[in-house]
Amino acid sequence: MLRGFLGLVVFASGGLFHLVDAVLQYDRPGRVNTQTMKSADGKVEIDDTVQLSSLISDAGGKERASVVQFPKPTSHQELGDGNVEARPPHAAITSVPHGDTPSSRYPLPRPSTARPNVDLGIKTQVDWFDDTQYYALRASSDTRFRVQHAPIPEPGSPWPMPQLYQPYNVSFRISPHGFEFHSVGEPCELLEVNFRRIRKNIFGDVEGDAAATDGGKQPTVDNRSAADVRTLNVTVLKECSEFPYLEMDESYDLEVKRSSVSIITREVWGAIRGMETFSQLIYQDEFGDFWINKTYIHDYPRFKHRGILLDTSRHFLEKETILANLEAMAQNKMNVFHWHIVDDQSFPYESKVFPNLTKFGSYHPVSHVYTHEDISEIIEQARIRGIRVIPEFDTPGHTFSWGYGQEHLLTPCYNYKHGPNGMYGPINPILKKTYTFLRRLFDEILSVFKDKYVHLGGDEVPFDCWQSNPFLQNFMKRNNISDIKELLGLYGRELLKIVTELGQNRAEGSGFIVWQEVFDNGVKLKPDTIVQIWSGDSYDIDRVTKSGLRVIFSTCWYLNYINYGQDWDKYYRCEQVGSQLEDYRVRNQSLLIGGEACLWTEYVDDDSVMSRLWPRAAATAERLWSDRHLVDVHQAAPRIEEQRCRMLRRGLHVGVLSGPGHCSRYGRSTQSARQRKPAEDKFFVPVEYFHEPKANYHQVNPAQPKTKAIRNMLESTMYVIPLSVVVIVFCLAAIVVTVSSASPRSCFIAILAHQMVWTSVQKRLFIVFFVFAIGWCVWTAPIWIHTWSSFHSAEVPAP
Amino acid sequence: MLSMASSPLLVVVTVVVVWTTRDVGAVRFRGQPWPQPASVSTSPEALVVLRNTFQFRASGSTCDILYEAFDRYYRIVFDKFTVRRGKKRLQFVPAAKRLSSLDVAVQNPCERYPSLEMDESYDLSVSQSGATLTAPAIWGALRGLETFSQLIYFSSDGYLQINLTEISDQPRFRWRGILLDTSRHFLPKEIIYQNLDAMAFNKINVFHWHIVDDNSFPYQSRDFPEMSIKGAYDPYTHVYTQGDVSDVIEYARLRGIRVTAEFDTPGHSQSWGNAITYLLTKCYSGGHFNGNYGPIDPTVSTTYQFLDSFIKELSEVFKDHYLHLGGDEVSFDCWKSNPNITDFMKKMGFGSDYSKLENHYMAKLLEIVDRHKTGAVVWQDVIDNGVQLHPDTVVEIWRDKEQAELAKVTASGLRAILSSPWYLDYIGYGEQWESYYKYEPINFNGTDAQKALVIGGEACLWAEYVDSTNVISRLWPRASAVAERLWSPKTVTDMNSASSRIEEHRCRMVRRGINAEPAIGPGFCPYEAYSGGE
Repeated sequence: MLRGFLGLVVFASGGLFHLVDAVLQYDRPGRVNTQTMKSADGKVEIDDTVQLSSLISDAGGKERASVVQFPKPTSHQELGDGNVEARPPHAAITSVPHGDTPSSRYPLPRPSTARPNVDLGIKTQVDWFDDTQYYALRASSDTRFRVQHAPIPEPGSPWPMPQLYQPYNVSFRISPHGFEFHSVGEPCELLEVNFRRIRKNIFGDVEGDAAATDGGKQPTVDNRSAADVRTLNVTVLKECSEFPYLEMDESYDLEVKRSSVSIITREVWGAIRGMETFSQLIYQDEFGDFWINKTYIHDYPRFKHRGILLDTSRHFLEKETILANLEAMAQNKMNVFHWHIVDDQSFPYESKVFPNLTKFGSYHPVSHVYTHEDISEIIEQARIRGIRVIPEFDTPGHTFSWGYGQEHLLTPCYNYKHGPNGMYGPINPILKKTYTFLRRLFDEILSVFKDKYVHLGGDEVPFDCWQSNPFLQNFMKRNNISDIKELLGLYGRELLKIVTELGQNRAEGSGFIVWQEVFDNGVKLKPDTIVQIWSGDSYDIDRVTKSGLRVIFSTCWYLNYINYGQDWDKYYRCEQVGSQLEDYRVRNQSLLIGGEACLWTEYVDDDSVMSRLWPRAAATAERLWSDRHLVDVHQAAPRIEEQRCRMLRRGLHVGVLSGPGHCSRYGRSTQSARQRKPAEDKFFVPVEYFHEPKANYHQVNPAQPKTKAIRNMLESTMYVIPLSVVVIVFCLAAIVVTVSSASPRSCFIAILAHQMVWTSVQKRLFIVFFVFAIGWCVWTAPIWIHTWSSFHSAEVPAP
Repeated sequence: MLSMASSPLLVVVTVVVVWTTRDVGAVRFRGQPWPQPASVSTSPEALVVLRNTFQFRASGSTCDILYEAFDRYYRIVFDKFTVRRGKKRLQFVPAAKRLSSLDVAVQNPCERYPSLEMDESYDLSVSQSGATLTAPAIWGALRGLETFSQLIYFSSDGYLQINLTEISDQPRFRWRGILLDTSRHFLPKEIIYQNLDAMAFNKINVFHWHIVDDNSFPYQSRDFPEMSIKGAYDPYTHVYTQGDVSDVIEYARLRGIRVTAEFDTPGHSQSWGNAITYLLTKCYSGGHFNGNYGPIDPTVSTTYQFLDSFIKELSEVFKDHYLHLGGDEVSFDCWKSNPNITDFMKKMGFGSDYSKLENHYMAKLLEIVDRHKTGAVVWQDVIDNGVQLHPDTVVEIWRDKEQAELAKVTASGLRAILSSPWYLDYIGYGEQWESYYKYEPINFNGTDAQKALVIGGEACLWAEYVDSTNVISRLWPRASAVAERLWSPKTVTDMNSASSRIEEHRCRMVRRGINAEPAIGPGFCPYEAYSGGE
């Protein structure tokens, strides 16, 4: 832990100062760094900015090698003698004072107003962060103007910032050709897969295309071998595990030396994180050559649960979008994909035990569904990146779409004394068959999804529907339940019992995550339950952790809410996590295990989900990975800009962070229009298979299969009983009138005795009415039976 | 006996009523046009459009625009509608139920480029005997083809079909624009193409290309190539070459879209100064040049010499009659600090009124523009500062209190376009398109002649927080709301109808390759776009 403090030394010394410095110092052999500018009247004026920066580099000298800062390639003379290699990491570590008192070099967080206003004369009158205005000079121009501009990306800077990051002023060349990834120790398939992935991320598709890249390029530096760094050695001390898990060890040590790069980790997951960092340290110069600086990194995450929530129910997201998102998560070292797979609006999860749930609950039963093959591909791609996939099956609220394919699951809502009003509420908690259904469904879910944890939801349960239902009222009366919320407790208890029991059949067992309402409503939770906080303030964390439960925090990272301007700084400095949360964590024995950025998809779908979520979620990623004292947005800005450009370069369509600007040619923005998938990939199915739009989801009235349409429609109106009575009375009356017109006195006796003489008209009318009456009774019989059985239905035992 | 007859009837009627009410609304995609035509009558009867028998036919004057449009709309209508090969087998469609052709009769000879005065009206008739599209000018034919393509929808039987429809349509406003800013962030040419496609799908006819600004100068000038070499973000990858510009203009021309370029002066021109060193005003502090530059220096003759040759180039490169001259947000601070300008002010007798200096500049600039036979569009700041404008000038309103400003501008006899309510770069959570849709552009007290001078509006997407990754989804379908407001009659205000139509239109755009974001809450399209990455 203490080693991490050393790495953060420079943050206090003014981010912008270094930024401008970085731009000007980015010189390399073969390029003339313009240090003078010509004014309009031809007189040469000395630029004071340049002088300032050269002062910095003179004064800094070798000491600057030990700070966390933009890695600058130096001139080749410096490289030649090798003396610039500053003190080795272990020497640096010993210099950090022990104990909790921070040293004077300890980077304390401080408000942005306390930043020294670096007066470079013309450029920094307005701070980009305060007024979303940022006046920077562009590296390409030799005159300068006041222009709003996003922070300039820092090539080769890692995101999220490692706990200890120690770059040196020594840069090595790397060549895509002949660079080897080498696994030391036990062979591990996961490592091999990641070697390929990381190589592609670093070098793009240049592999195997040597002629195209090398042929057209002139060697830029003569007195140097083709490449300094030729291998990456990855040592994993423990055995290769198969699936990522909550307590996995993601720490790693990374050392970049002249001959090779080495990564040493305990578990393979740390190696994946380490290789990601390694790939980020590599940068390209303007000739397209790859470089890496001598670096030492010791790194581990601050929180073990760092997640992204994607909602595939409000809008369906294509599998490819989810896979692209997993890649983006891996590039930001996030490790949990919280898959809010079903909700009120649709049920895209393919259930094989209850196929009707998917068939009638999804937007489209063929094209808008995640099959088991899709899911296992997503899980596999996530596993490769060290990402856990936690599905969320939110009950008992947020389940309208379940009601389309599962009868009697949802609670019918009642108008006072007028019978069912056609609406449905949450899952009915008092019927035994509810729980047999849930047991079978979760049995399937736990076999499809591999992670130990499953998110059971439990948020926003509307109690008014439960309150209105007479059966539930009776149940409460009989069992002396006074508070309707206790029904949620009853439901929760049963569901947790089911999932626990099912977990006993799995090697990894089962664990649950629930939304904070479950805790707030007083449900007794098992001590290993994780509670996800999404509303309220940080006191919620205190409340939950006091009862000994673990907590995930997502209140300040609801990325679906958007505003004009830049907002990543808000997510970056998320107050609770930045300051108080750490105290909670310490006080409560690490019960705060992480956080999640949530993207609910009411107004987002495939078109915009990537550009909406990223790179804003990268701010969350650094907050959850890096040290708590890393709160200076100014320091983070050039790095997060580089992260954005890097993600673009690697083919992810991430959006804009902070104002006008561009990614440099080697990190250039998308030059070609987005390539849409060819139409043949799409499976087109006519409109008839689509349900009605379900925009107003509070009014959703679950529909049934078409064969049952009328019956269910009638069932769902409150007129069924009076209507039936009217129909039967009419029919009987008609029969009586028909018959009695022939033999008024003793018609029924006459019928029974076969003595009556009927006219053919009477006979036909009688048959029509009789058949209709019988038909009506048969047609509505299930409703009567259902009503009757509801009265006598088996109920769960009262708490 | 009455009851005998009525009782079964009652039941049957009840069942039938309930059954039909359930079915209403179940059909979701039913070929509703966006924007709503001026007059439309539709019959529920439908004809089938078959890929291998349908053809477009020209029965009036023809030109490349029309043939390209036939080609384009054939693909739009039939591509990506793969006939389902499932359980349901397609049945033979008799010729009487087929629509075999659309006859397009353009009455007047084609014009080469779209203009402000172009005629976009058309009549479209789809009847049992065939479909005809009649338009006085080629531009109306383009709009009519767009409507025709929107009327065709995919039926539940697996066919493309079109309802019998009579449409007579013309736009409410002549200037219906989209502003794209390629200076704050560079937009690749392909993204501009996509956007022009989307504009055509929404019958928008002006691409207001805010091509340069303070931040960068991506326009590769023919006569002053230094400007983009020194002013662009990257002189090779982040520029529009002359070829790119003419490609964009050609692409727009084929879709009946005017390209009005904006070269904003005297403010918003920092990126110009990288190459044209004498152009910008030097700012002084404490009697010395402080290294900052301000707006264009209006006092020296070299400025006007440069502008003359530069505008000559622009008038040749950009084919549209109008050139947007900007003129917004001129800061006087730098001018005030410069001693040369103070001297000039004294000499000209301007006193301390720097808006007179701006007047001086704008008057000279308009003179230059006029000399090159080009019309001018300016931001409202110019008229607010009291500059006398040529009556041919169009004033664009962008600040708030826009209705009072409209009254003021039109009272002075100038034409106005409105963009204040439609700054689409300001985003918020939820359904914003409704407010864009509900805004009534002409809502001030004035004479009819004054109201006729309001010739249109523009939706503006400034690119501070937008680049090629999110520009399309940010702009569409929110700009569609503006498109209907500017095209359809004033009386088209029904939000229920608009909601269902814009949802269909959004899915239609998605199917046609425009990554439009959801307009209304949760839902889905038959085709979902994928844009997560490569």
